[in-house]
Amino acid sequence: MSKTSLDLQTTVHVEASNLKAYYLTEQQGVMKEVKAVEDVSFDIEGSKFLAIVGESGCGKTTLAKVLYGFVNSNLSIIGGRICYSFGDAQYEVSPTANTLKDAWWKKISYVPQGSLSALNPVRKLKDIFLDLANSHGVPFQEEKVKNHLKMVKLPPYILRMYPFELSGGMRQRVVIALATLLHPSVIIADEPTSALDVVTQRDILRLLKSIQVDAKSTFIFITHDISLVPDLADFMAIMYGGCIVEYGPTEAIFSRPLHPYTKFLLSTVPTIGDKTEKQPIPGSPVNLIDPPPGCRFHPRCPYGEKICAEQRPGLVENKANSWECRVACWLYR
Amino acid sequence: MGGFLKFFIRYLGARLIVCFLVIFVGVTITFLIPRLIPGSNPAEIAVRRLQMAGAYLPPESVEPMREALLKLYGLEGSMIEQYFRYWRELLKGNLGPSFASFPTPVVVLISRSLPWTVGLLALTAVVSWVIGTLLGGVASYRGKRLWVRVFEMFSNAVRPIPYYIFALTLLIIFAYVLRWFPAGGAFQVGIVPSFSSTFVKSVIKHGFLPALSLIIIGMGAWFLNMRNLASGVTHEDFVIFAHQMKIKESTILKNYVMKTAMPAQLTGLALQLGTVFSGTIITEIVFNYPGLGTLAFTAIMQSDYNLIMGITLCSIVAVAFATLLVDLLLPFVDPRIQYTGGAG
Repeated sequence: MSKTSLDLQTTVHVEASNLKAYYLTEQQGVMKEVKAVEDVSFDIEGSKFLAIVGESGCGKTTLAKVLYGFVNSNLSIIGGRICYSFGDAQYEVSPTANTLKDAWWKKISYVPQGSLSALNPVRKLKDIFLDLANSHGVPFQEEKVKNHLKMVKLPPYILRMYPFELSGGMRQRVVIALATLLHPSVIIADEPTSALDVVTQRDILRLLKSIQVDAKSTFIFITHDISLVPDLADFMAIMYGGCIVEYGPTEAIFSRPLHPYTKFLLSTVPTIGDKTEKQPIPGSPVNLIDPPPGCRFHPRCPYGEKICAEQRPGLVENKANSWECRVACWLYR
Repeated sequence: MGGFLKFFIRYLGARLIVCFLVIFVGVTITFLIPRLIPGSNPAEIAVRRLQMAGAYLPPESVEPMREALLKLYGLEGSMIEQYFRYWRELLKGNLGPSFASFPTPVVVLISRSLPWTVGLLALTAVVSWVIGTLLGGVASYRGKRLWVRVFEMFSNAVRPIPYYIFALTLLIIFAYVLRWFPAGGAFQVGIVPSFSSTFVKSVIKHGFLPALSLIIIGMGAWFLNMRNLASGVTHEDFVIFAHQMKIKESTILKNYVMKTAMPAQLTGLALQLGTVFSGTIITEIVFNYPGLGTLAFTAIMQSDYNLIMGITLCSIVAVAFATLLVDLLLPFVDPRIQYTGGAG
């Protein structure tokens, strides 16, 4: 990798401000909005590994799509914007503009949730790599691709094979190889390991981490499994009901969680020797079509106060903590 | 590669056995059906035809005449004996004489009609398949373009129209009102079939309307079929991922969407090509085209067992081999289907 590209990658800046994205669906003739991403803001600079954690249906995947600018007629950005600056170039996704598409795959790439079915079943892997190279005007050099495959620990002969001839873990590695082939500075991975067994999952996560460290790229990693985060991420964001409820360095959140939801989540992580029974979070997840007013967590929150039901708390810096943490909870005002 | 060849031969062997079994059963059934229809004895029919023509036949001479006819037609003896005799002759390539046009051999009658039918139907099947499949694939991808919607409306409008009404309309407009094309026949009466340019021109001119009617109907069906298949594929994860990878749209359309939808379409084409050998009665009647369809129709009306069996045999063999061809070709189109019978 040349020195200039290194310089560019160290100056990556991703800034999401008050991002709002809704799905428009029709139910019994009435147009309804699924408020999947509500008021999401964060800011990462340089080569960082950010994990976004949340339960199923909390809007994680939607956030990943929005961050990648992969919006269509169903999913639209209602407000806010996300800006990427790669040193020499700026791209943004907002209700009116989506210039990020120009940067796809060269500067920002995406590892989808359904990685196992993300490869064309009737096309040899070599042809898929060839399609990718041709589409981006990059010369296809088989030796380079083979070296690249070695980096993700895949044997070179898989280029002659079809996707269905590979195991789940291998297919996942192929997708990661595709995502990193053009050396993007930002990679968004949406639950890349959720369909894999635990051993394969650990290997893939190590691979992702090593890619992030070696290539000095920025990773946005979406997961429902908070126990994966400590070894991987520098920063983490906890999502609940479409909102980010807590944001901060992984270490800080794990050692001193602030938001009641984060506390619940962390209490579910099993540790060896721990004999206590795990308690489920009372109540049920948010209905994103008709979310509760105020803090979206308040119906399930044991510390709920009057204000929680009336006004949604913003994500504000928490002064009581020695780390730079931000939390969206009235308890900390 | 040696392993592949071994698997291929084993696969081919199994398929061939099935293929011949299908032909055997088909031939047996077509042998039985006309013989089991009451009142359709061809000898009786021939005698009746003579009587209807006004000839006086003394009652005592009818019976010997019937027997002589049966012997002549090869229909004497029990059903089992006939059956074995039929197979013996069939393997020698002899389908026997036609009863209605006695003593012309069935093989001659069929080979006179076959080229017209196969030429017309195979050509129209392939043309309508190619156009319908290509347009359907593109339409699934560019669903909102104006031409797609127009074509879709057209296909949907043409589909419920009964084919004979559609064909008659074409005939009335182009052959009677506009007089651009002849109203029937396969070539100008008086021209001797040869490879001269006048003959070829005449054949094209006569075949144009039947071909047009078949292509329009067939194309609409293939178009809708392919569009449905391919629009299913456009929502597959790998197509979405290809978009996210920003792979060229033309590559996605060709190699991701259409290639995946192709096995089902190709199967349909091969099976349709198999049915080409039985002709299309309605087209041939409406356009007065000398094909297998009309031949089969008259054969059934005249209880011409040998001819019925000859034509049915053609179509059984063609369908059986078309199926075999599909089985052999699919692994090339869809790598997930393998000769070994199991995926990797």
